[in-house]
Amino acid sequence: MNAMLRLSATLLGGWLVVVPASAPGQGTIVLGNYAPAIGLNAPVFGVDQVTLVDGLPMRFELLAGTRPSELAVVGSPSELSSPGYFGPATRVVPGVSPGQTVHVKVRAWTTLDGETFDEAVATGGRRAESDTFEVVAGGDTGGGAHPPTSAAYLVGLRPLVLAGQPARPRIRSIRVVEKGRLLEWEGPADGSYLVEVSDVVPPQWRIGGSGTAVGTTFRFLDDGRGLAGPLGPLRWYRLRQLPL
Amino acid sequence: MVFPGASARRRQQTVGWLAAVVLAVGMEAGAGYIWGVNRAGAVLDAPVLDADGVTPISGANLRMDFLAGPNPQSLGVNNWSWLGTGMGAGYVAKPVYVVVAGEAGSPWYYQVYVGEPEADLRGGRWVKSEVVRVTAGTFERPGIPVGLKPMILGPPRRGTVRFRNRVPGIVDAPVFAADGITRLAGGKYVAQLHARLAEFANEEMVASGEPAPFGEGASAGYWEPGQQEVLAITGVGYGRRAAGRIHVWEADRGGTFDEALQAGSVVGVSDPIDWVSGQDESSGVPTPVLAGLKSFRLSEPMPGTLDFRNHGTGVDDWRLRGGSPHDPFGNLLAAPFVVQLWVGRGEADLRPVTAPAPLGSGEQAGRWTPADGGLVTLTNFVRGERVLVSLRVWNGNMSPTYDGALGRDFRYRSSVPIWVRPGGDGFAPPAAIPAHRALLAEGTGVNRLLVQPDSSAVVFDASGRPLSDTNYVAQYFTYQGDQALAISLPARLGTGVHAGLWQPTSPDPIVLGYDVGCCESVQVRIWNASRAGSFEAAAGWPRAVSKVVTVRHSSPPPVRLTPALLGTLRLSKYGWPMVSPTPSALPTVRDIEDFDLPWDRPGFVGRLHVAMDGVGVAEAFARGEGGTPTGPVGTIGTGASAGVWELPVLREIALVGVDWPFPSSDVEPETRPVAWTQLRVWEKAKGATYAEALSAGGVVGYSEVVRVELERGMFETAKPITIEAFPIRGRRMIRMVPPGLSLVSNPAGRSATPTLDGVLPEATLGTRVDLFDDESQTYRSAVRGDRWMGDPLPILAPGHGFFVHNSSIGPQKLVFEGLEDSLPPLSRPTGRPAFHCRANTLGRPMSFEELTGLSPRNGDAAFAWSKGDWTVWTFDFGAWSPGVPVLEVGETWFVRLGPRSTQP
Repeated sequence: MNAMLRLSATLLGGWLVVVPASAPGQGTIVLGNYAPAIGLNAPVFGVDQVTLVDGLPMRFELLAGTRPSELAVVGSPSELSSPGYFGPATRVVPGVSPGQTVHVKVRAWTTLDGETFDEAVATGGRRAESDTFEVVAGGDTGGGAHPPTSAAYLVGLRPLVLAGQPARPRIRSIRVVEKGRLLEWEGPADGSYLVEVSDVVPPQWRIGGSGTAVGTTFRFLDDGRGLAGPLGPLRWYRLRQLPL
Repeated sequence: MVFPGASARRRQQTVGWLAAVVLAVGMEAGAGYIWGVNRAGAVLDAPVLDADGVTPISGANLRMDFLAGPNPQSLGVNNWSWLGTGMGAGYVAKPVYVVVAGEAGSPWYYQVYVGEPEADLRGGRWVKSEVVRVTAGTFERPGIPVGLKPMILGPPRRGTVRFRNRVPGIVDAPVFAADGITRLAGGKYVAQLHARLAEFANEEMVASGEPAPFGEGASAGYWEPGQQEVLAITGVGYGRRAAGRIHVWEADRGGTFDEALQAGSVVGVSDPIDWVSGQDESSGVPTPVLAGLKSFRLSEPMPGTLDFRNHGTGVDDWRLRGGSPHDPFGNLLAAPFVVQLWVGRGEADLRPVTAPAPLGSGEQAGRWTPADGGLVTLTNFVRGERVLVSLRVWNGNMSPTYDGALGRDFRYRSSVPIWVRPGGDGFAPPAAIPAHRALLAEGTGVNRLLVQPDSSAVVFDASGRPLSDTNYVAQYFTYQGDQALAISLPARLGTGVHAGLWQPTSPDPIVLGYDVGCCESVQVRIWNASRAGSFEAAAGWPRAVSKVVTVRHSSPPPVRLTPALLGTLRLSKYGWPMVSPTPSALPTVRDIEDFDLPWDRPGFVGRLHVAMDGVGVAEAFARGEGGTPTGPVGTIGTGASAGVWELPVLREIALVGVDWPFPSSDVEPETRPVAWTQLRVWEKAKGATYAEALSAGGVVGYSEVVRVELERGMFETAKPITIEAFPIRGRRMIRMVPPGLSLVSNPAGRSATPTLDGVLPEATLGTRVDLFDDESQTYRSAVRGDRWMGDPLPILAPGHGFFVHNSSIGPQKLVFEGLEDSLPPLSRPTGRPAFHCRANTLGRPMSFEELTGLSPRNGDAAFAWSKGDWTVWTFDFGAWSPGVPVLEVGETWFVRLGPRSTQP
């Protein structure tokens, strides 16, 4: 927003301009990747590099700081608002004044592969990270002399491409229940799984079945009547994640 | 017994199969993959742009071809897709694989073509990228053509002609009035070129450019092309042979030739001419002239003539052939087949206008001899009028008429109709009717299907008594897809002892067509013939339909259409499907702000509105627009009945105008037709209808849109629908924002929750809204992509101000609804000054005090945004400077309030 202050000749010539003291405001940035009129159009692509991310629970967070080496997460993450696009969401950058140059970065990941970005990295999950670039924080009031300028958009952000693989499933429990044995595991909700069983050692695996999903929790009930066959005193289980 | 050599052949076959498998595997192993895209992550961004080099082209009908080859000289189309729309404009709508016959890692050449259909032929827009090298990848990781650059879609490359009827030494063809002597002069008459590609004789000529007036004095008889002397021809590409005629008419009779003709204009049409079209002037290629154009004169409207002679002796195109539509080169047709010319203003209106002309045999096979010389004068069509023509062919031995032949011989067909313009003596030559290939479908016939009408089925009226009204008729129909076709004449119902019964018009079985699958669907329809000439046109009056009877291809004997098959034939009470609105548990109409309170003001009425589903209908209804009112007007109660829509006791409302499609099967379709309904409420004093009140600035309200899936039973029993309680919306206030940045605000002091979709219903891609949030002293942003995006989406609440970044080239409309009212007073901040953005919500000039509810104090200020700048008023030393600010109607201010601690 062009916020030039125009003062009339009368005002300048005859009166002392009194601008009330104002505590310094805080710089604002818009966490978003679409504002084509000002040259921002940086969609997020899937791992194939050409398909816009869609259908995954995604998180996008802003990191900012006055030095490139000292970036910190700003505010809460945003979500997909359209295939390949997130925000816009205004974020106040602590310790940064309006009009100040800020180093920023965007991180993206799917919560199927981690609750946080670091967790997604740790599991080798699907995530992306932009370069660090500079923007001038918005929210400038000219020391209270005019209304705040609008928040700065992330002009300079380039398209992101997810890297990584769906996180590996984690066995939560195998327990005896009234109807048989219940295998529970956590894994990406969009994953496909195969439970294999063996009643001998060394194992001779055969297909036992697949799981039923409730969110990211999967269950397989081995009641001795399915593909796995009658239950004996000992049974080995193996969980396989099928490629997407 | 095994014949010698049989096992050897089997072995050979086995070896062959193995070889094929090995070959297939080998080819798969040798395949490389490249993405068919023009965008990929951060490594490829090559959008298709408009001539300005900035605006991405939106797909619509633009196709993308991906060409690949081992060298730049041997590129071939490998795969294709479409250009995207909305946020995906400029980029491929769906990435595709380009599969090349080389190992992953092998180098290939690659090119993208983007163009309108038949762009080269028709002069459409297209662009080819530069040829780039790309390395083929694997199926899992295809190569990416990273070298692609943005592509600028070229301008239309429509062929040209010099649009003049006088070019010294080449053409001199003045146009004369009907007397053949007076040259046309001035702007009373205009001339326009109608043309098409010469090679597509069956296509209609279409207008190019604007109609041109005639010159005067020495230039009389010659039109003045003005700026369009080098005229671009619609639908004809550079260097293509075009065929055209000049059309002339009275300018004040219509903007187009056809409009003028309908209005009784004197018109003229030249003989056809053809030429090889030129390019635009900048090409340096000489523009062709209308060489060969002859003078012509105008004519009063007179019957037109068509040429039904079999032109082009020896030219196969003019011979009639058999063969299915997929085999247009079947055998030439010969006697006893006959051909007949049918003419109309639409497909349903086609009628025969000639006697059947026999086809010849031997050398003359495929040609016909018109009985009356071949020039057909059309008594119902004037010269130059658009006429739809079709040829119909059948076995003349089977029936003297086309209709009579239907079903008696499976070999019959009508040509695809084409539009022509009849000529006349001294006018343009009669339009010749080209023959059509693939007129007959030979060898696809099946047994005839016969159904025997049954006169024992009884039609009942709505009360269940046999219908005793001879205005009613019954007619048999069959279906092609969902389209019903009459297969009998309408038969009148009787009275007295014949009440409810109809007598078939013929005792003969009804013979059905041949070109269907296993069976035919037959249905009886009953309607009031005194109201309308057809069942469809009688919509809105009581009607009845039978069950759909499926007749299999096992006849003869004819299938008898007994009452058991047809089911109950009972007239509907109404001709439209009905609904029965059930108000919500709450009084239906609620207060504009406080939803817990009913709307309790006298003088309000409500009426149901309805529309069939269609493009944009639901969206328009969501804004309380579109549709038509239906059913009674009910008062909105007051006092103890406040907010109640008081309908008459009978709450059945016919959805007048809802087009009820009768499906071709008794099985309820998976997807039923849908109508949208909505209760709309308005201030009666402002208009007799909702629309009147809305445009007069009246207070209105409208419910959520109620989706109604149509069912057959809705003719008899109204389908219940629930109208959920809804708030009054208030008056509608429209604001326009120009391109660029504007500070606007919701001018209502009270209103229901306004959404971005509601306020900016026509926002263009990239439009941004920054709503100022008093609490955080920051902006909440939203941007328009394929839908509004924002986290969270801002609510444009009453009195709140916001910036609109209109990035389109034209103004955008903002729609607010609400009532004028003062806003709650502001409170001064603590610690440091705070800004607030507020609207004039009273509909009259407002003072600072009225806007804020506060008296000004030193340090306060008001800011108005105008043309990219702030105009500022400050309050210091107990006075405003440069003067006392006044917030005019429609304006928005930022105000800065000093903190409490600074007050004296």
